[in-house]
Amino acid sequence: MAAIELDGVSKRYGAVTALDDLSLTVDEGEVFGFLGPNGAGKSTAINVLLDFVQPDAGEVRLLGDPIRREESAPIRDRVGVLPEGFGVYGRLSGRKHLEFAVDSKAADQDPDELLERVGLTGDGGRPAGDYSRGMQQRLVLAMALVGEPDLLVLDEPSTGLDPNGARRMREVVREEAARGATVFFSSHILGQVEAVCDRVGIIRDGEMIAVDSVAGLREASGAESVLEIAVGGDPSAAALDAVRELGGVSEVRAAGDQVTVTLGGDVRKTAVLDALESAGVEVADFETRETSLEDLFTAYTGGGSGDRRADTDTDDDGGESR
Amino acid sequence: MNSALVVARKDFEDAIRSRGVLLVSAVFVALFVFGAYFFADQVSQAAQASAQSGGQQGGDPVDSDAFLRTLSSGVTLLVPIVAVVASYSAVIGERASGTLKLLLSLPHSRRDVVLGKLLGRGGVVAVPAVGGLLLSMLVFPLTSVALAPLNYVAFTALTALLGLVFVALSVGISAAASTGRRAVVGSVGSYLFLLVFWNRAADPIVGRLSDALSWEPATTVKASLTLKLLNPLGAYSSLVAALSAESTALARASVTGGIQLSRRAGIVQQIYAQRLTEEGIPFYLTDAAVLAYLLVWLAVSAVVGYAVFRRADL
Repeated sequence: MAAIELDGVSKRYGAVTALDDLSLTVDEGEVFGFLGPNGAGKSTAINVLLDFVQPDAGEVRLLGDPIRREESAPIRDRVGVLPEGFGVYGRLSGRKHLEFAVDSKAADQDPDELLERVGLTGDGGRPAGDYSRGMQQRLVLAMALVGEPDLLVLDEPSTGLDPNGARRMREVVREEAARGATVFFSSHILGQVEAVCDRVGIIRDGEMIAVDSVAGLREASGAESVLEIAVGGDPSAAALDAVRELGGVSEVRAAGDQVTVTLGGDVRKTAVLDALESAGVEVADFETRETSLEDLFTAYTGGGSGDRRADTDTDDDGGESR
Repeated sequence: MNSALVVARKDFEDAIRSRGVLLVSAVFVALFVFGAYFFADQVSQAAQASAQSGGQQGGDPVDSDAFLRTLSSGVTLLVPIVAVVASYSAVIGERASGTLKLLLSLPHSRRDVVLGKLLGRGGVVAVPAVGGLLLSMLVFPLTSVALAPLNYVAFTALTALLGLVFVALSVGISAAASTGRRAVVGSVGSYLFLLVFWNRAADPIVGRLSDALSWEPATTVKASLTLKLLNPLGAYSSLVAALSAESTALARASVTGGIQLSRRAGIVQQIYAQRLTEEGIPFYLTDAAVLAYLLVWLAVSAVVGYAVFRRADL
């Protein structure tokens, strides 16, 4: 059974097509990243899943049950949601919010444990209106965890989170996935998705343009990773040539004490560093710039070489976007 | 716990933390308790004055029913305003702030939300009104004015019902509205329409129908009264009047002639009451029917508001 099935879902707002015959299946137990720029239809798709918005056409099933207007409350008993654009009850404390969620789901959980899981220990007694946006985000994430849901739908969960909060959020997603929950996760912060997702779907103009594993997408886009090495003094030409001779290295450039190596295939970074050092170059520091999903995203949506759409632009600028 | 009750409890807990609601509660309690005290004080002073001037005790002995009659016109104005202010943003406010997404992300249906709001805001209005009125009963044993407890409790129940009707009207409009501004205009507009224009429009309409259909005078009287009793404010006043009026006919006729009791209005009421007494009270002018009119307002407001809200995209 699939955790989420969208089958030919369309939604128009006046002249604007928000979703155009969108179909998507998310399997049980996977962590699925849903990517797209603003206005691509991400939120509309999630709003359709949650029965916030009625689609013009198509079928939606959550955990095997069809979503129909006003009949989805029993399904939402098994779903935890962090909606996009939510507000909190400014006068009610964080703990009250969680008590409300616990009562709503007839669950049996300690609000304080939930607060601890999202890093709000000690803040439960304060009115949620006094929370920062990041804290409100954590609070609603905690509400989504109430009742150990089979499916978590997190719409832009990293919004407003500091790096610490974002890390905590990733931990929670991993813990929930380990428990067996399916996690459906939308974001435009691609590093977040890359870090936790099994599969990624990219939506543009209301259509899915790619669904693949993170590794598969990277391969499909032909993207490469880049190694930036700070060296002690100008490296010799021989040292640079030694690196070039390594298999899978597609480009080596040097500028002052900075060496930039573009890695195409499965070259290990240590091989590059070893080659430099054995040629007498002192490696002071290095940094890897993995191909981010942003690069992939550009490759898919910007008409790059990795574009799998049938109607690939022929007059693109040919640039491997980087 | 039932889903609507969970929503209602959350809504009530949220609302009682707002200063506005505390203020309203204070106003209710102050109005009813001090109102009762000043009323009793005035009555006993008047009684002393007449005793000192050697005159005999004039008229009927005054009891708490007289206070309720005095209070009811103020309640007719105040309770609906409080209900409207407490409820106009009940649903649209949550829609605008995004908290509705939290509500509907949890296993609540939109029906649960409308019903929960009705109960929650109903509590916010009814609890201070009922509390204030029950508290004001305690004033009477301390004074020379006799307490008629059953009528007092009935008045309290009717006042709570009036509050609930206007809460339902506002919650319904709040659920149906797509913007906060529309909800305000709709709720306040409805109240003003019922308060100011309904009765003014009633007589010309009945007059035209009467002319066109050549009604008997008695039919015209019944039609006029029925139309005015279909107004929830009229239904409430007439039911309150029935608590202490000599006859149901007088209580029904009390809705005619406007809210301020001018001498002319009094005469019109006497004539209407007399006609009604001669004709007998039809079933649609009995206390039960008038109570039903109030309940229909409550139910229809909530159902229509829900029907629109059900179809809305957030």
